[in-house]
Amino acid sequence: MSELSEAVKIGVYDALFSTVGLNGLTSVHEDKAPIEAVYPFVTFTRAPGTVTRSFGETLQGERDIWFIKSFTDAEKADAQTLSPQKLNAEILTIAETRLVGNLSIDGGRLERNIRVGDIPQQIEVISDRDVYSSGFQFEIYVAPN
Amino acid sequence: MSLIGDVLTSLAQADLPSVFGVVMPDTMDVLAETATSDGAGGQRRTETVTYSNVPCSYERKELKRRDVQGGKTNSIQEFIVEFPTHKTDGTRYSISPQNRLKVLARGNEPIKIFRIISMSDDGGITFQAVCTKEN
Repeated sequence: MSELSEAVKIGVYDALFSTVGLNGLTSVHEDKAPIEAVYPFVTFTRAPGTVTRSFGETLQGERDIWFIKSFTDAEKADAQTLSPQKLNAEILTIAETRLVGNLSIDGGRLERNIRVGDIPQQIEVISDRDVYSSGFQFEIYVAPN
Repeated sequence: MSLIGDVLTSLAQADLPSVFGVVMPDTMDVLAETATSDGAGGQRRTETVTYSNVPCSYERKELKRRDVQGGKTNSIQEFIVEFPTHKTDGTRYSISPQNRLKVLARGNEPIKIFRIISMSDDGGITFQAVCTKEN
């Protein structure tokens, strides 16, 4: 990951982390959560992006797609008196709002930050519970300062 | 019915249910789930206790490994939970893989919740439920 994308990653994490505590969200993790994580949590993953350069090969900007996913189990959804699907939707709505309105990149100039697609709902049966996940794809284009 | 069948029936339905309460180390609640619509296609569940204080024992079935599921690392183990087929009044427990088994705390040993994968019985005397549990 480039230095610019690393700066974006920190900004994405900060924006998502600001939603912890809302709707019972416990934590935010890159790629996957550790064994001690408690549902519901959010993960974010960077998809390989594209780099724009001028003819002189000067870096003009980097475009990355970030996968933002919310995971919850049915028990935690019950505690929030929501269906698991609805709880994930509530968490993701706030996450998108923060990524649009509160994203701050240290070392880069934010040119574009917008949700460009969704990630289908997935259901996994894990030990004694059902885990639901869904998410969205978020495009971020950052130019160097 | 054969002689052995008669003996097993008598053991399972009359003699042993009260004995299991003494010889089995744990007790459990059998949980059932009721789904309630959220009005938009989703469902949330309400948990109810179908049977309480059922004598039981549990043991590890086989060694398992860690896995990444549900966005996180999990350590999941299969267990066999054994419990009587009949209550002390001679009626039979009606338990299926739709139920979950909540083994109650014993001393400072915490509650353990098992999801049933499959159910079978041994001679109509005890159920042996193959279950999973997150460690």
